[in-house]
Amino acid sequence: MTTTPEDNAGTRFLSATERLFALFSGIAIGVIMLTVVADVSMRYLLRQPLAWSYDMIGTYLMVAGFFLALSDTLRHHGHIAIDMFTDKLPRPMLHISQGVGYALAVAILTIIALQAGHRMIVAWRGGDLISASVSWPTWPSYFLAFIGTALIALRCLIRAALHFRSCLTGKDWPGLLYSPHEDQPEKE
Amino acid sequence: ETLRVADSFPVGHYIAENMTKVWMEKVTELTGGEVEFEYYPAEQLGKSKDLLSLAQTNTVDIGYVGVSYIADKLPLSAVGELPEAFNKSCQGTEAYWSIAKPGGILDQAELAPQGVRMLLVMVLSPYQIMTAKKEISGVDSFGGLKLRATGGTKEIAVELMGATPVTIPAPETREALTRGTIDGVLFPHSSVLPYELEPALAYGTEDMNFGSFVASYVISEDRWNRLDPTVQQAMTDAAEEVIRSACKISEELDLEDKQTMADAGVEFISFSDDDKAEINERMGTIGEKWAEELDARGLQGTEVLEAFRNALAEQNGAPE
Amino acid sequence: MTVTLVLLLLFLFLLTGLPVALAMAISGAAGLYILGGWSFVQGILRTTPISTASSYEIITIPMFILMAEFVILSGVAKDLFRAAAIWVGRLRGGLAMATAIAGAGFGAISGSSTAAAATLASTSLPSMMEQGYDPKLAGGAVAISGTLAMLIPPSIALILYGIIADLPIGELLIGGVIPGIIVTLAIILTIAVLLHFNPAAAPVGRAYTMREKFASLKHVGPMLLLFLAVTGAIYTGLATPTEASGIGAFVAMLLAGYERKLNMETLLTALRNTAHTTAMILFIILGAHIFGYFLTLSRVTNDLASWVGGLGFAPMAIMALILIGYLILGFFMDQIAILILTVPVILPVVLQLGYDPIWFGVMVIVTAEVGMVTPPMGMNVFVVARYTKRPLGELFRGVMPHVWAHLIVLLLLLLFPGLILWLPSTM
Ligand code: NA
Ligand code: NA
Repeated sequence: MTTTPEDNAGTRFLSATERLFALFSGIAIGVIMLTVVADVSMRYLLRQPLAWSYDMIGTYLMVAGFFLALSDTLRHHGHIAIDMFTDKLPRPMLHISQGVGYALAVAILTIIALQAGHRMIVAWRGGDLISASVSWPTWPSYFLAFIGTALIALRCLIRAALHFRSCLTGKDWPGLLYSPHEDQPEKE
Repeated sequence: ETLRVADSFPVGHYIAENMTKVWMEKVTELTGGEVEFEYYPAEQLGKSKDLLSLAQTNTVDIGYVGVSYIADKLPLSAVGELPEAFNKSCQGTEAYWSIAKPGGILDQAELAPQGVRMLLVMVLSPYQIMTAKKEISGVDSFGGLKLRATGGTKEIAVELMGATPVTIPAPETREALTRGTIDGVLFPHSSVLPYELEPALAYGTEDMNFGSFVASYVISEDRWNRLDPTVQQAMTDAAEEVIRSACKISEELDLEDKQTMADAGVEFISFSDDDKAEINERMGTIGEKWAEELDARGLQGTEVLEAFRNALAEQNGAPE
Repeated sequence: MTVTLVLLLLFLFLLTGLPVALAMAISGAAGLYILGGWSFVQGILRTTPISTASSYEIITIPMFILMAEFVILSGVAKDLFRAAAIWVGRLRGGLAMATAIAGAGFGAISGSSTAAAATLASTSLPSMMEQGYDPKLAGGAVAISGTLAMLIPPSIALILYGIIADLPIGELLIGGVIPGIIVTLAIILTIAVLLHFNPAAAPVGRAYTMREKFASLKHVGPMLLLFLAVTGAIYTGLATPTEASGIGAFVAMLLAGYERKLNMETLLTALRNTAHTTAMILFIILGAHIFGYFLTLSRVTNDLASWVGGLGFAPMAIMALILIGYLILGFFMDQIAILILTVPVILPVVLQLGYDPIWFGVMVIVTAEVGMVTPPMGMNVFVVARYTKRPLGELFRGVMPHVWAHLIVLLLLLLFPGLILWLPSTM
């Protein structure tokens, strides 16, 4: 139902992972909603707010909500881009620029992922807890950032390769360029 | 050479004005202009919880460390935020500095292993409980109240007073107070005016310690070692002087803030000696529980707490 | 020199269609590398991404997006336009005016302009085209009415401003109410004036009986309830903005359930759409942070602030210059990116000039509304173009009269700050 034209046999697994992660991200957002409602209800009805809601949301749920949806959003061309010139620029220039852009993005996202991975290992080894009284580990937060960023780095790598390929063959890879005048497959 | 100093204080904040900037000027003066500073306030280079990391990676040369923002990395350093036996900024600051300065037990147990050394520190005048409507008369005045408190040990302090801790973002506190979402706050006086809480408050405690806040600046060990010994000396000398002058000013400002609040109609309540003793006893259990939990994680909780308590006792015993 | 180079890199990637977030992250990281080598890049990329997401206050963004998703799902948003059309439809261009009213109403439950423009484009635009409206007039009305969502609470843009500037979100949101009403009236007035000079652009609608008029309000009720639950709760202080956002989303979910539109599939779609939009917004925030740290370390922002401070102009003149700067930025850049890049730099100057930060936040949003509909980067016009398949140039021309009207409103708000500040002062 939600394969994008950019997909082929090689990237189908990546797309499936992205969909799954985005689902988790959506669920995290749903849980945030329920947590807030529970927190407020407990406070007003029982005068006993949930002491853990603040840390739970800030440390885990928002991090999951953001990082796990990153790559799937890119796959859907959901990250805002200025696309009004893309039809007017020479195709080879467009592909080279975006190819280089995505390649550089791979580098930056890889650094972010490695840094998050490093912090995860340090936090895991050190047994870091959010605070002395909230004894929750901090490493899952870094883990979420690590896998989410690693995934979007992979997606950018494929984008870069397809742009260079399109430039060489002179034929746009289907679905690679976002066209504002066409409805997106998944939007209503 | 030029050093980058970064913190998260809003422009004009009293800690930056009376400690950070004074120290920077002093160092520049002592080094005959050889060392200058680029100052980045107001989270210009990163959030409070990131500034330690930015100092460790030498993205900034000197970074602000509010220890409660970095409780995951610096759990022991929170010892200065416990409701211990001090009710003035300088008492807490002197005692804390004696264990956190390079070579002190806190430095050896936690800061040095993180690859940083503390340059400057201020322990704020302790937090007080302030209420919007409920009159404060004694130790039993807080039962069932919802009080805004952030951070583990402050939430426990609220619970020990029979109240319920509520976490609310600082900028939303005034609205929460005026509308009765919360009944009061556990706040330092110095934060009441910036968030304009005084019109919403009616009563406050005084001279108690329900916890405090440790504001410090650190430099990475690696960056420190690359500084010229004369520069190092200048920084150390400047710090010894500025740490003391800054906490004095902080105490004066605390009194001024208190007066402003009193003028705005806040009534300050002094507890009876019996009530004080009762509260201090309750608060003392927080430190022990705190130390026990850290001990259980293989950290030197008890040692650090003992050292801080001894340093405080020395402070309190010492003639003014 | 470094700054020029990095800006060139940014514009190259922006103009060739790389996502804005990536363009800012790449050029910002390149700049950091030039300034301070590996340690700058490593330090910033180590901390910034997680800090961007790891915050409690920021949940207002996904929660308000989720609320709008549920409202759209419930279908009552579409009834809003129908009801407005029944009430004002008799006038010449009534449907276009109803679009403005529906835009205001939708704005009261949605924080995102583009979502509002998309909803209006799918409801009011087909009706107008059917009745033979001039596409320019119709498209322009839809694009500009969509921007009301970022002014009338809840507003993602105002929340973002509040988070950056560390201001009470509640007062900011309430500060948008009266300007929101003024802008709505300005849109209606502009349409009336346009039709006065060119009556052929829109037909006269049909009249409805009072009974039909009141019947049309039946479906608007739930929306009103939701608005009261959220903005009412914030205004009266029953809930803080973070709480109100979560409760608003929950109530909207119940509303969708009541309208029998909620099942496992639609629920997951709403959650996934929210995840996508949230990721998009936070990713731009992340990119803008990286770029912003580069600008800060380059000291260019510092120099700018002291330059403006040293000009010696009257505060009003400097403020006018600042607002013109925002208008120009709005031509080219995404509004979220503008906020994050500029507010930390400009706000100190604004405070120094003696202006109220809440007033300034609302002013920036009204300015940003203009940017949403001006070429070359006009998100709302893009959205309308996507739905109507009309040429962009035509739509941009259609929205121009509204841009002029907006500038007049802006001048009004500049001269009478009380229009913004009065309502929050009564909280
Ligand atoms: Na809105
Ligand atoms: Na624009």
